[in-house]
Amino acid sequence: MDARGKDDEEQTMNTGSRRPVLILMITTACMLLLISACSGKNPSGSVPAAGTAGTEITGTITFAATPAASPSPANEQSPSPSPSPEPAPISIPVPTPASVFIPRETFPDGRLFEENYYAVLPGEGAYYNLYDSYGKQRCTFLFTDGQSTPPTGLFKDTSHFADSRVNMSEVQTVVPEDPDGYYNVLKYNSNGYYQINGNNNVVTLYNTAGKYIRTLTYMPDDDQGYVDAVVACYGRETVVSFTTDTWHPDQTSTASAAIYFVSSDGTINDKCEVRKLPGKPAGLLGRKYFLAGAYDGGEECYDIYDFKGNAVRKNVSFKSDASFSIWSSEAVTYIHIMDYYMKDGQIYDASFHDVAKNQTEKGGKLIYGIDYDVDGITCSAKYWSRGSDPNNHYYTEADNLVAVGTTDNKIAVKMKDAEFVFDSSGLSYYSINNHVLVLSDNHGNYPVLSLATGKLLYTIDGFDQLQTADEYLLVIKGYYDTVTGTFPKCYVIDKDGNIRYKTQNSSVEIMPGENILLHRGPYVGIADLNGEWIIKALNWELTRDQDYKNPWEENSG
Amino acid sequence: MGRFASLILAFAVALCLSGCAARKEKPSAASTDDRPESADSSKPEETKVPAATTPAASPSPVKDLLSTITLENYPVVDGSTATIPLAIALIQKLTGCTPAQAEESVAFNTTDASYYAMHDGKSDLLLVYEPAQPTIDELDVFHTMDCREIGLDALVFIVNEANSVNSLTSEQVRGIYSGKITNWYEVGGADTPIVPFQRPELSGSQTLMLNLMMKGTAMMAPSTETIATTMADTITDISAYNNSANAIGYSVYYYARNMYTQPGLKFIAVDGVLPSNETINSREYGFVNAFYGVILLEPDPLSEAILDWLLTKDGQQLLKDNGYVPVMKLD
Repeated sequence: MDARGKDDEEQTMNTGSRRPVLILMITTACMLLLISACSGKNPSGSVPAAGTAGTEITGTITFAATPAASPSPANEQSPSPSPSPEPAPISIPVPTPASVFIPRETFPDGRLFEENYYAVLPGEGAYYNLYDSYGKQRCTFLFTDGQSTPPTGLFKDTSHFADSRVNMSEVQTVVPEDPDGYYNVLKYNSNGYYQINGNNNVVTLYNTAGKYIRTLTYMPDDDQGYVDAVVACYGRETVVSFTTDTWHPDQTSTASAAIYFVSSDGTINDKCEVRKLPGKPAGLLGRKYFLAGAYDGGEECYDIYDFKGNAVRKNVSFKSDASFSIWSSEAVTYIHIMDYYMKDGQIYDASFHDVAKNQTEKGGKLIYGIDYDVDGITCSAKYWSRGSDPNNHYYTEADNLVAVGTTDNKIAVKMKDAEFVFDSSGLSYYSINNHVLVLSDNHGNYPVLSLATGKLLYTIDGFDQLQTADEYLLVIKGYYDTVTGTFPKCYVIDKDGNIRYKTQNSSVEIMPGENILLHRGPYVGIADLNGEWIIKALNWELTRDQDYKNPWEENSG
Repeated sequence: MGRFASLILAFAVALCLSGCAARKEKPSAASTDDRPESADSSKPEETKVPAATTPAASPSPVKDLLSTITLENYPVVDGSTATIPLAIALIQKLTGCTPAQAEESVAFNTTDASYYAMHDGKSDLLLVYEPAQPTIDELDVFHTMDCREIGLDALVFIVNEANSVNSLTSEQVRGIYSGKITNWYEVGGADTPIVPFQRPELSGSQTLMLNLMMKGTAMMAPSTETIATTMADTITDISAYNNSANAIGYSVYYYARNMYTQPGLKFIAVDGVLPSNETINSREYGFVNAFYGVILLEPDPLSEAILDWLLTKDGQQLLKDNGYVPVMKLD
C-alpha cells in the first residue's frame, strides 16, 4: 500500500480537512532491536542471508529485521506496544550482502525509459547526442561551456542545451534563424518552441506542435540599454521575461521588467510590468507586485513595489529555494515567482494577509514555513523531498515540501497528499521519498522505514552521501581519490530494501524512475537499478580528443 | 610465496611456448620499414596477409597458464578506443567475470598515449592501432615492443545518407582533403560546398589517413572549436564530424560501424569498393590496416600467454564474435 498518490480530486475535496493518516506503531522492542543493531557489529564480521529474519550486519550497511507494524489510520486507536523477541542473527560467510538481481520491468511499447525524458550522452568531440525514450538519436549538439558540468543523464527540458535541435524540423519559423547562431535561434522547452531576438527584444512563441502562437516585444527605457529576455515553463504556462538595467550619472541604477504568462494558445494570462525600480527585480509576488532592492545586512532586505513603482511594504524576505525562478546565464535575470513573503517571522500572502496554521494551497500543496497539525503534533513545513530531478545545476524549482514534527517518542510527517505518524524513540527526520522514510539517531545511524508497511527495512550505519531518489536510495561511502583513482563505495537500494547494485569501481548518480546514471569503465549511460545498461556511450574523455593550450605559455613564448 | 612460485612456473611455461604460437618476427633495427607489413604506409594496397592464415588451436600449456588468470592477476591492458569492446570481451572470456566487472577493469588511454603508458611501465598488454610517426620515433616502438597483428580494420569515409555521392576515387579523396576539390559537384554530387572534417593529429584514424590515403600530400588546416574551461585554459578541439548534408569525415571501420553509429550516415566506396567485413578480410578494400597486440620485449608471462591465445582459433573467434575482422581466416 502506498499512502501517497491519491488522486487530485480527493486532494481538492479534502483541502483544509484531515486526510487519512497512517500511524505506524513500531514497538519498543523493535526500537531496542534497531538501536542494538545500529550500535553493534557482528563480531564475526559475517552477515545473514538477505531476506532472512535475522540481523544483517556489514561494514557499511546494517540490516535490522523488525516485526512489521500494521499501518493504521491516525485517528484509530493505536495498538499498545508490546515487546517482540529479538530474532537470532543468522550468519553466512560473506563479508557483504550480495546484491539482489531483480529483472527490470520493461515498457510494453518498447521504450527504454519514461516518456517525456531525453537521454543526453557524450558524442564525439564537443558534441553530445540526445536520444528519445525509444533510444532513437534525435539530435546532436555542441556543448562548449567548459566551466559547466557536461549535460549527461535524463532530462525533460532540453532548452538549456545550446544548439539542441529536437523536433526542430516540425517548426515553420515565422522569422528566419540567424545562420551564425546568435539571433532567433529556435529553441525548445516542454511547452513548445521559441525564438529570442536580442537585437530588437522580440520573442516569438510556438506551441508544442510547432505552430506559431504569439510575438512579444519589449521597449526599454533607454535605447542603448541591454534587454535580457528569458523564456521558461511555469507549469503549462510559458513565462517570458524582459529585464533591463539603466545606469545613471550619479552612479545609481534603475531596473525595469515585464513578465508575461502565456497559455498554450497564445493568450496572455497575466502581464506584470514595472519601470524604474531601484534595483534589480528579485521576485514577483502573486503576479501583483515586484520585490526589489538588496540592502546590506539582515535577511529582510527587499521592498515590495506595485506595478507603478510605488513601495508598498518595506524590509521583507522570501525563501528563495521555495519558489520557482526564471533566470539567465550569470544571473542577469534571476526572478523568483512567489505567492508568499515573510516579515518578522510571519508568512504573508500577496494580499498582505497572515497565512494561518494548517493553510494549504490549492491541491493541498504545503506552504513553506507554515505549521501543520498531524495527530496533535505540530509539523513545520521546512523540508523538501528533492526527489530525482536530474537537472542538478539547472535546478530551479523546489519539489514537494515536507512538514515534520516530533515529540519525545513520535515523529509526524505531512506532505501534499499523505501524512504519517511513527514511533520514533527520539529519532529525527532525515529524508523521504515515494516509498521510505529515513530517520537519524544523530549518531551516524539512519533507520529506513517503509511508508507502506511501517516496517523497519534496514539501517544505514553512516555514509558520506545519501541521495534520496524518488524510487530508491543511493548510499555513497568514501570519496573519489584523485591520486589512486579509487571510487567511493556506492549502494543502490530499492524501495524494498534490496541492494540492487553495489560498486567500488564505478560512480553512480541518481536519475528519475528506476534508473541510475552510471559511469563504469569506458562507458557512461543510463542503467537500471541492477547496473544493467539501458543506453550507454563512450565517456567524455575517450571521445573528446583535446589539445590544451595555455595562453600564458603562448604569451610568454 | 605462492604467487611468486606461480610466476616462475608461468615464466617457464612461457619459455616453453615461445615459438609455438603464430607470431611475427620482431622487426630489425634497420628502419621503420621493418614494421609489421600491413602497417607499411607506403604500400597499403600491397599489404600481405600474415602467413598463418589457418589458426591453431590453443596449445595446452597456454591453456594451463590462462587457467591461472583471475581478475586480480589480470595484466594491465591498454589501447585504442576502438579495441575497448575487445578488451572487455577478453577479460570476460579469460576470467569468467561479469560484464560489469570487465568494464570496471578497463581504463584505456587511447592509441598513442597507451604506447607511452607501456613504455613507462604502466601497462602490460596493448590492444591497439598503429601509433603516429612521432610516437614511433620517440619510443622506438618496433624495437622496444613486440607488436603482433591480431585483427584488421580499415580507414573508411562517411557522408550523410542524403548525399548522392556513393563512391570516390582515392585521388578525389586526396583532392578534397588537400583543399583542391571544394564542391560536391566536382565529384558528381550536388552543387554545394564540401565540408571536410578531420581528426586530431595523435588519433589512430588520423594516422591511418596520413599513411594510407594522403601519402605525403599535405592536408588542409582543420576547422576547430574552442572551448572555454578554467580562467586561463582553453581546449581546442578538431571539429567533430556532424553528419550535415555536405559533410565528409573519416574514421576506422569498426568504430564507425559498431561503436559510434549515427542515424543518417553511410560509408562510401573508395576506388569502387565498399568497406565491409568481407572486403576488409579479403583486403579487396584498399585501405586496410591491422591492429595489434603489443607486449614488451620482456613481457610478463600472462600477457604473452594472452597475446598468444588471441592468435589461436579461439582467440580469433573471439574477435569475430565481437564484430572485429580477424587477421586470420577462420573457415
